[in-house]
Amino acid sequence: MSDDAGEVTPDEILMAAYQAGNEAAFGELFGRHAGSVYRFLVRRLADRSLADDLFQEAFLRLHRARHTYDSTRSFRAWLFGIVHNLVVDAMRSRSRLPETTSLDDVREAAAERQQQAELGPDYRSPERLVAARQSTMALSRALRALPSDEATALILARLEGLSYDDIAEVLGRSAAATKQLAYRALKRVTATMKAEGHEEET
Amino acid sequence: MKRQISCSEYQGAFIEALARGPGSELSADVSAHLALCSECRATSLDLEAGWDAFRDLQPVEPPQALRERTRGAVLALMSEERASASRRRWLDGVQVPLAVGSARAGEQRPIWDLGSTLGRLPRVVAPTASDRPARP
Repeated sequence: MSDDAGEVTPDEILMAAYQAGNEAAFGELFGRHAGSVYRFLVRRLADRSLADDLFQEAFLRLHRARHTYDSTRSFRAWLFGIVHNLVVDAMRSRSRLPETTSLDDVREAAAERQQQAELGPDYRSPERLVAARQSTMALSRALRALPSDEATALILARLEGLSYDDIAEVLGRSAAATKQLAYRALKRVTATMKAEGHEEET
Repeated sequence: MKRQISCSEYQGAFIEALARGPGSELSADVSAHLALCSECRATSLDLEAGWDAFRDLQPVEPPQALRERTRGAVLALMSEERASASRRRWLDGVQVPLAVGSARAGEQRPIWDLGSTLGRLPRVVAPTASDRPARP
């Protein structure tokens, strides 16, 4: 959604229109953020079917909570606050996450094979492809093993590009504490991957 | 004399620089810490590699059917809420005149107690035989 001058309407303005019952404003917000909410859920849970269930629930929660949104705050921070709490609730209700190869690991392997088939045999050498695949699986496992807030901090900073101020708002912590969380998370992930023999070439 | 930053302050600055992207410059005090602290220097190299490893993650997008179902569920709620608000407005519109009528009667009565209010209104009485003009 953009105005007559072609400028993109900020999320915060769209949110005000959505609060007033404007369906188009909701549609625009949904279009802008559905992808990043889904990516966050998939990376955070490493379980595609649970991510699917929580995706719909996230937007229903957003709808129910829309009148609590304060337009002076960052919309993305508010949105991911809802999604993070949803994930915490869901993980509490599960005794523990699966530690064996998840269905997502299998799906990622299939997607990698498809990408290779589409791009042709020169895309990557088989050795490099296998190494990248194993590295991705190791990374998913390492993310899964992180404490909840650390995982959220790292995923939002690394994959969704949220500022540490916004992530601090999501987690209800100070920006300095949030950076420490992300640092510790990255250190754990790197150590896990190194222990498994998946070091990124630099 | 220039203050030296702690390892913890360095870590915060380092993770922020990683998020800013490759080639983002570290401030002078952060660089000074890195030059002096061999432990942070070694860890930083590892962490840069760990940060880069995320590039290999496959992109994921919500399936189209899930998108549509989710969008539809919220829009259905919005439409339901609009209908319910419109019903409430209609009821409010009906109740206000009744409440006014009740207040005019000078009594504190619930608005649904219409019987006595209506009882005070002038009665419309059907003409009796004596009201009718005599037949020629």
